[in-house]
Amino acid sequence: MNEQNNKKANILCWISLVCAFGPWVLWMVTDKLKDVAAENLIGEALGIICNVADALSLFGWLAALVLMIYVRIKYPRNVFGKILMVLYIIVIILVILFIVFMYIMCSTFVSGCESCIVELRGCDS
Amino acid sequence: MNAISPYSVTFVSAFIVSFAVVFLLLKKRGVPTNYIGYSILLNVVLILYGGKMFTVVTRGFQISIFTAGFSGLGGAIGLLMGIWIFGKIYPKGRTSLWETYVTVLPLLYGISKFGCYLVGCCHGIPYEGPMAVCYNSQYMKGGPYFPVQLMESIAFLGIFLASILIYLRGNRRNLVPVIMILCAIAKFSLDYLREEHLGKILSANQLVCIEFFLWGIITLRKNRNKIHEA
Repeated sequence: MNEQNNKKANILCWISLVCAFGPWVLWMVTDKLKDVAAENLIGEALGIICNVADALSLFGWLAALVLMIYVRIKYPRNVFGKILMVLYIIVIILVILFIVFMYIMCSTFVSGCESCIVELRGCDS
Repeated sequence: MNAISPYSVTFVSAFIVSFAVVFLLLKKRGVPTNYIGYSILLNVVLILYGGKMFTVVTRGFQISIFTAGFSGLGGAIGLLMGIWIFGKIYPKGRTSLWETYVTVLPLLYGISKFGCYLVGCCHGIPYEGPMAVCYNSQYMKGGPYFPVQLMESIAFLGIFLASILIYLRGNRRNLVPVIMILCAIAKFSLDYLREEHLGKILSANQLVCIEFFLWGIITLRKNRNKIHEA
Protein backbone atom coordinates (compact mmCIF):
# COMPACT_ATOMS: atom_id res chain seq x y z
CA MET A 1 0.00 0.00 0.00
CA ASN A 2 1.47 3.35 -0.97
CA GLU A 3 1.95 6.27 1.43
CA GLN A 4 -0.98 8.26 0.04
CA ASN A 5 -3.44 5.37 0.47
CA ASN A 6 -2.16 4.72 3.97
CA LYS A 7 -2.75 8.37 4.85
CA LYS A 8 -6.27 8.25 3.41
CA ALA A 9 -7.04 5.09 5.39
CA ASN A 10 -5.73 6.67 8.60
CA ILE A 11 -7.96 9.74 8.13
CA LEU A 12 -11.00 7.46 7.66
CA CYS A 13 -10.01 5.56 10.81
CA TRP A 14 -9.82 8.78 12.83
CA ILE A 15 -13.28 9.84 11.55
CA SER A 16 -14.57 6.39 12.50
CA LEU A 17 -13.13 6.74 16.00
CA VAL A 18 -14.80 10.16 16.44
CA CYS A 19 -18.13 8.75 15.19
CA ALA A 20 -17.84 5.84 17.63
CA PHE A 21 -16.88 7.67 20.80
CA GLY A 22 -18.18 11.19 20.10
CA PRO A 23 -21.78 10.15 20.92
CA TRP A 24 -20.68 9.33 24.49
CA VAL A 25 -20.49 13.09 25.06
CA LEU A 26 -24.01 13.40 23.61
CA TRP A 27 -25.28 10.69 25.99
CA MET A 28 -23.86 12.56 28.96
CA VAL A 29 -25.64 15.75 27.83
CA THR A 30 -28.98 14.01 27.17
CA ASP A 31 -28.71 12.25 30.54
CA LYS A 32 -28.51 15.64 32.27
CA LEU A 33 -31.29 17.04 30.05
CA LYS A 34 -33.59 14.13 30.99
CA ASP A 35 -33.23 15.08 34.67
CA VAL A 36 -34.19 18.66 33.79
CA ALA A 37 -37.06 17.40 31.60
CA ALA A 38 -38.54 15.43 34.51
CA GLU A 39 -39.05 18.56 36.61
CA ASN A 40 -39.83 21.13 33.92
CA LEU A 41 -42.93 22.43 32.14
CA ILE A 42 -41.34 21.92 28.73
CA GLY A 43 -40.38 18.42 29.84
CA GLU A 44 -42.23 16.59 27.09
CA ALA A 45 -40.62 18.54 24.24
CA LEU A 46 -37.21 18.21 25.90
CA GLY A 47 -37.80 14.48 26.31
CA ILE A 48 -38.48 14.11 22.57
CA ILE A 49 -35.28 16.06 21.76
CA CYS A 50 -33.34 13.71 24.07
CA ASN A 51 -34.87 10.66 22.34
CA VAL A 52 -33.89 12.03 18.91
CA ALA A 53 -30.35 12.67 20.23
CA ASP A 54 -30.15 9.08 21.59
CA ALA A 55 -31.18 7.69 18.18
CA LEU A 56 -28.65 9.92 16.38
CA SER A 57 -25.84 8.95 18.76
CA LEU A 58 -26.33 5.29 17.89
CA PHE A 59 -26.38 6.29 14.22
CA GLY A 60 -22.86 7.69 14.79
CA TRP A 61 -21.81 4.24 15.97
CA LEU A 62 -23.19 2.70 12.79
CA ALA A 63 -21.24 5.19 10.69
CA ALA A 64 -18.10 4.24 12.62
CA LEU A 65 -18.67 0.56 11.89
CA VAL A 66 -19.29 1.20 8.18
CA LEU A 67 -16.08 3.27 7.91
CA MET A 68 -14.05 0.57 9.67
CA ILE A 69 -15.39 -2.11 7.28
CA TYR A 70 -14.68 0.19 4.31
CA VAL A 71 -11.05 0.59 5.43
CA ARG A 72 -10.65 -3.16 6.07
CA ILE A 73 -11.91 -3.98 2.54
CA LYS A 74 -10.30 -1.17 0.55
CA TYR A 75 -7.04 -0.90 2.51
CA PRO A 76 -6.59 -4.37 4.10
CA ARG A 77 -2.95 -3.75 5.07
CA ASN A 78 -3.64 -0.60 7.09
CA VAL A 79 -2.62 -1.24 10.72
CA PHE A 80 -4.95 1.41 12.22
CA GLY A 81 -7.88 -0.31 10.48
CA LYS A 82 -6.92 -3.66 12.01
CA ILE A 83 -6.67 -2.13 15.51
CA LEU A 84 -10.04 -0.44 15.04
CA MET A 85 -11.64 -3.72 13.99
CA VAL A 86 -10.38 -5.51 17.12
CA LEU A 87 -11.49 -2.56 19.29
CA TYR A 88 -15.04 -2.51 17.86
CA ILE A 89 -15.43 -6.28 18.16
CA ILE A 90 -14.37 -6.05 21.83
CA VAL A 91 -16.86 -3.20 22.42
CA ILE A 92 -19.68 -5.19 20.74
CA ILE A 93 -18.88 -8.30 22.83
CA LEU A 94 -18.79 -6.19 26.03
CA VAL A 95 -22.15 -4.57 25.16
CA ILE A 96 -23.72 -8.00 24.50
CA LEU A 97 -22.31 -9.37 27.79
CA PHE A 98 -23.60 -6.28 29.61
CA ILE A 99 -27.10 -6.75 28.13
CA VAL A 100 -27.13 -10.47 29.06
CA PHE A 101 -25.93 -9.59 32.57
CA MET A 102 -28.62 -6.91 32.94
CA TYR A 103 -31.34 -9.29 31.71
CA ILE A 104 -30.37 -11.86 34.31
CA MET A 105 -29.76 -9.49 37.22
CA CYS A 106 -32.69 -7.12 36.76
CA SER A 107 -35.23 -9.76 35.70
CA THR A 108 -36.19 -7.59 32.76
CA PHE A 109 -37.83 -9.70 30.05
CA VAL A 110 -37.51 -12.61 32.44
CA SER A 111 -40.68 -14.51 32.99
CA GLY A 112 -39.95 -17.45 35.25
CA CYS A 113 -39.20 -21.08 34.67
CA GLU A 114 -42.59 -22.19 33.44
CA SER A 115 -43.67 -21.64 29.85
CA CYS A 116 -45.75 -18.50 29.43
CA ILE A 117 -48.48 -20.51 27.72
CA VAL A 118 -50.90 -21.80 30.32
CA GLU A 119 -53.61 -23.02 28.03
CA LEU A 120 -53.55 -24.25 24.46
CA ARG A 121 -57.03 -25.07 23.20
CA GLY A 122 -57.55 -28.06 20.99
CA CYS A 123 -60.05 -28.61 18.21
CA ASP A 124 -62.72 -29.67 20.69
CA SER A 125 -63.10 -26.20 22.19
CA MET B 1 -32.28 -16.54 40.15
CA ASN B 2 -34.98 -16.38 37.47
CA ALA B 3 -34.68 -18.35 34.25
CA ILE B 4 -33.99 -16.54 31.01
CA SER B 5 -37.13 -15.75 29.01
CA PRO B 6 -37.98 -18.09 26.10
CA TYR B 7 -38.17 -14.93 23.96
CA SER B 8 -34.46 -14.16 24.47
CA VAL B 9 -33.49 -17.78 23.79
CA THR B 10 -35.53 -17.90 20.57
CA PHE B 11 -34.29 -14.46 19.48
CA VAL B 12 -30.62 -15.43 19.90
CA SER B 13 -31.23 -18.84 18.28
CA ALA B 14 -32.83 -17.12 15.27
CA PHE B 15 -29.67 -15.05 14.76
CA ILE B 16 -27.29 -17.99 15.23
CA VAL B 17 -29.18 -20.33 12.86
CA SER B 18 -29.86 -17.68 10.19
CA PHE B 19 -26.32 -16.30 10.06
CA ALA B 20 -24.88 -19.84 10.02
CA VAL B 21 -27.01 -20.48 6.91
CA VAL B 22 -25.87 -17.13 5.41
CA PHE B 23 -22.23 -18.09 6.06
CA LEU B 24 -22.57 -21.48 4.36
CA LEU B 25 -24.45 -20.10 1.34
CA LEU B 26 -22.06 -17.17 0.79
CA LYS B 27 -19.04 -19.47 1.24
CA LYS B 28 -20.54 -21.72 -1.46
CA ARG B 29 -20.86 -18.64 -3.74
CA GLY B 30 -17.13 -17.90 -3.30
CA VAL B 31 -17.33 -14.78 -1.12
CA PRO B 32 -14.12 -14.49 1.00
CA THR B 33 -14.58 -15.56 4.64
CA ASN B 34 -13.47 -12.23 6.14
CA TYR B 35 -15.91 -10.35 3.89
CA ILE B 36 -18.74 -12.64 5.06
CA GLY B 37 -17.69 -11.84 8.65
CA TYR B 38 -17.78 -8.07 8.01
CA SER B 39 -21.20 -8.30 6.35
CA ILE B 40 -22.59 -10.35 9.27
CA LEU B 41 -21.13 -7.87 11.80
CA LEU B 42 -22.70 -4.91 9.97
CA ASN B 43 -26.04 -6.62 9.44
CA VAL B 44 -26.44 -7.83 13.03
CA VAL B 45 -25.87 -4.27 14.30
CA LEU B 46 -28.19 -2.79 11.65
CA ILE B 47 -30.97 -5.33 12.38
CA LEU B 48 -30.87 -4.38 16.08
CA TYR B 49 -30.71 -0.66 15.27
CA GLY B 50 -33.48 -0.85 12.64
CA GLY B 51 -35.71 -2.93 14.91
CA LYS B 52 -35.51 -0.44 17.74
CA MET B 53 -35.52 2.66 15.54
CA PHE B 54 -38.76 1.55 13.84
CA THR B 55 -40.49 1.40 17.24
CA VAL B 56 -39.12 4.84 18.20
CA VAL B 57 -40.21 6.47 14.91
CA THR B 58 -43.70 4.89 14.88
CA ARG B 59 -44.22 6.14 18.46
CA GLY B 60 -43.24 9.69 17.44
CA PHE B 61 -39.95 9.69 19.44
CA GLN B 62 -41.92 9.45 22.70
CA ILE B 63 -39.57 6.70 23.92
CA SER B 64 -35.80 6.37 23.95
CA ILE B 65 -34.09 3.95 21.56
CA PHE B 66 -32.48 2.30 24.61
CA THR B 67 -35.83 1.34 26.17
CA ALA B 68 -37.81 0.78 22.95
CA GLY B 69 -39.11 -2.69 22.11
CA PHE B 70 -37.83 -4.56 19.07
CA SER B 71 -39.83 -4.57 15.83
CA GLY B 72 -39.24 -7.47 13.44
CA LEU B 73 -40.21 -5.37 10.43
CA GLY B 74 -37.78 -2.62 11.49
CA GLY B 75 -35.11 -5.32 11.79
CA ALA B 76 -35.87 -6.38 8.21
CA ILE B 77 -35.48 -2.76 7.02
CA GLY B 78 -32.16 -2.60 8.90
CA LEU B 79 -30.97 -5.80 7.21
CA LEU B 80 -31.89 -4.48 3.74
CA MET B 81 -29.98 -1.26 4.49
CA GLY B 82 -27.00 -3.34 5.62
CA ILE B 83 -26.99 -5.36 2.39
CA TRP B 84 -27.24 -2.15 0.34
CA ILE B 85 -24.32 -0.49 2.22
CA PHE B 86 -22.13 -3.59 2.00
CA GLY B 87 -22.96 -3.93 -1.70
CA LYS B 88 -21.62 -0.38 -2.20
CA ILE B 89 -18.36 -1.24 -0.40
CA TYR B 90 -17.97 -4.61 -2.13
CA PRO B 91 -19.75 -4.31 -5.54
CA LYS B 92 -18.35 -7.64 -6.80
CA GLY B 93 -20.43 -9.58 -4.29
CA ARG B 94 -23.57 -7.42 -4.46
CA THR B 95 -25.77 -9.99 -6.23
CA SER B 96 -24.65 -12.88 -3.98
CA LEU B 97 -25.26 -10.78 -0.87
CA TRP B 98 -28.76 -9.67 -1.92
CA GLU B 99 -29.86 -13.14 -2.97
CA THR B 100 -28.45 -14.87 0.10
CA TYR B 101 -29.56 -12.45 2.81
CA VAL B 102 -33.05 -11.97 1.35
CA THR B 103 -33.47 -15.77 1.11
CA VAL B 104 -32.55 -16.14 4.80
CA LEU B 105 -34.66 -13.16 5.95
CA PRO B 106 -37.91 -15.19 6.30
CA LEU B 107 -36.02 -17.79 8.37
CA LEU B 108 -34.75 -15.13 10.79
CA TYR B 109 -38.21 -13.59 11.07
CA GLY B 110 -40.02 -16.93 11.36
CA ILE B 111 -37.88 -18.22 14.23
CA SER B 112 -37.95 -14.93 16.17
CA LYS B 113 -41.77 -14.75 15.81
CA PHE B 114 -41.95 -18.09 17.58
CA GLY B 115 -40.37 -16.31 20.57
CA CYS B 116 -43.23 -13.77 20.46
CA TYR B 117 -45.68 -16.69 20.48
CA LEU B 118 -44.10 -18.16 23.60
CA VAL B 119 -44.03 -14.86 25.49
CA GLY B 120 -47.24 -13.25 24.21
CA CYS B 121 -46.00 -9.98 22.75
CA CYS B 122 -47.56 -8.92 19.39
CA HIS B 123 -50.48 -11.22 20.28
CA GLY B 124 -53.57 -11.79 18.17
CA ILE B 125 -57.17 -10.64 18.35
CA PRO B 126 -59.47 -12.09 21.05
CA TYR B 127 -60.53 -15.52 19.78
CA GLU B 128 -61.97 -18.67 21.31
CA GLY B 129 -61.64 -21.24 18.52
CA PRO B 130 -59.09 -24.02 18.01
CA MET B 131 -55.46 -23.21 18.94
CA ALA B 132 -56.55 -20.12 20.95
CA VAL B 133 -53.84 -19.30 23.44
CA CYS B 134 -53.86 -17.77 26.96
CA TYR B 135 -50.87 -16.20 28.69
CA ASN B 136 -50.11 -15.89 32.38
CA SER B 137 -46.63 -14.60 32.97
CA GLN B 138 -44.84 -11.69 34.57
CA TYR B 139 -44.59 -10.12 31.11
CA MET B 140 -48.04 -10.85 29.69
CA LYS B 141 -51.39 -11.87 31.16
CA GLY B 142 -54.59 -12.41 29.21
CA GLY B 143 -56.38 -14.31 26.50
CA PRO B 144 -57.65 -16.33 24.83
CA TYR B 145 -56.09 -14.89 21.66
CA PHE B 146 -55.70 -15.97 18.05
CA PRO B 147 -52.17 -17.48 17.71
CA VAL B 148 -51.12 -14.95 15.04
CA GLN B 149 -47.43 -15.15 15.96
CA LEU B 150 -47.47 -18.93 15.34
CA MET B 151 -49.22 -18.36 12.01
CA GLU B 152 -46.54 -15.81 11.06
CA SER B 153 -43.82 -18.28 12.03
CA ILE B 154 -45.34 -21.04 9.88
CA ALA B 155 -45.95 -18.68 6.93
CA PHE B 156 -42.41 -17.27 6.96
CA LEU B 157 -40.73 -20.65 7.47
CA GLY B 158 -42.78 -21.88 4.48
CA ILE B 159 -41.56 -18.95 2.38
CA PHE B 160 -37.99 -19.73 3.48
CA LEU B 161 -38.26 -23.40 2.48
CA ALA B 162 -39.63 -22.50 -0.96
CA SER B 163 -36.95 -19.80 -1.45
CA ILE B 164 -34.01 -21.97 -0.39
CA LEU B 165 -35.09 -24.67 -2.85
CA ILE B 166 -35.15 -22.12 -5.70
CA TYR B 167 -31.84 -20.65 -4.46
CA LEU B 168 -30.10 -24.03 -4.45
CA ARG B 169 -31.46 -24.89 -7.90
CA GLY B 170 -29.65 -21.82 -9.18
CA ASN B 171 -32.60 -20.07 -10.85
CA ARG B 172 -32.19 -16.83 -8.90
CA ARG B 173 -32.99 -14.06 -11.38
CA ASN B 174 -36.31 -13.04 -9.80
CA LEU B 175 -35.70 -14.57 -6.37
CA VAL B 176 -35.24 -11.31 -4.40
CA PRO B 177 -38.39 -9.50 -5.64
CA VAL B 178 -40.52 -12.66 -5.39
CA ILE B 179 -39.46 -13.23 -1.75
CA MET B 180 -40.14 -9.56 -0.93
CA ILE B 181 -43.62 -9.77 -2.49
CA LEU B 182 -44.47 -13.02 -0.67
CA CYS B 183 -43.22 -11.65 2.69
CA ALA B 184 -45.13 -8.39 2.19
CA ILE B 185 -48.39 -10.24 1.39
CA ALA B 186 -47.99 -12.61 4.38
CA LYS B 187 -47.16 -9.84 6.84
CA PHE B 188 -49.83 -7.48 5.48
CA SER B 189 -52.66 -10.01 5.76
CA LEU B 190 -51.65 -11.49 9.12
CA ASP B 191 -51.35 -8.01 10.63
CA TYR B 192 -55.17 -7.78 10.52
CA LEU B 193 -55.27 -10.60 13.08
CA ARG B 194 -53.20 -8.69 15.66
CA GLU B 195 -54.99 -7.05 18.55
CA GLU B 196 -52.87 -3.93 18.07
CA HIS B 197 -54.52 -3.53 14.64
CA LEU B 198 -58.08 -3.29 15.98
CA GLY B 199 -59.67 0.07 15.14
CA LYS B 200 -57.15 0.89 12.39
CA ILE B 201 -57.52 0.67 8.62
CA LEU B 202 -53.81 0.39 7.93
CA SER B 203 -51.05 -0.05 10.53
CA ALA B 204 -47.48 1.28 10.22
CA ASN B 205 -46.39 -2.31 9.52
CA GLN B 206 -48.82 -2.57 6.62
CA LEU B 207 -47.66 0.71 5.10
CA VAL B 208 -44.10 -0.67 5.05
CA CYS B 209 -45.43 -3.93 3.55
CA ILE B 210 -47.05 -1.95 0.72
CA GLU B 211 -43.68 -0.32 -0.02
CA PHE B 212 -41.93 -3.71 -0.03
CA PHE B 213 -44.65 -5.08 -2.34
CA LEU B 214 -44.35 -2.16 -4.80
CA TRP B 215 -40.56 -2.41 -4.75
CA GLY B 216 -40.86 -6.13 -5.57
CA ILE B 217 -43.25 -5.47 -8.47
CA ILE B 218 -41.03 -2.69 -9.91
CA THR B 219 -37.92 -4.90 -9.66
CA LEU B 220 -39.76 -7.77 -11.39
CA ARG B 221 -40.80 -5.45 -14.24
CA LYS B 222 -37.23 -4.13 -14.56
CA ASN B 223 -35.87 -7.69 -14.72
CA ARG B 224 -38.43 -8.56 -17.42
CA ASN B 225 -37.50 -5.49 -19.46
CA LYS B 226 -33.81 -6.45 -19.20
CA ILE B 227 -34.60 -9.89 -20.66
CA HIS B 228 -36.57 -8.30 -23.52
CA GLU B 229 -33.71 -5.85 -24.25
CA ALA B 230 -31.19 -8.70 -24.29
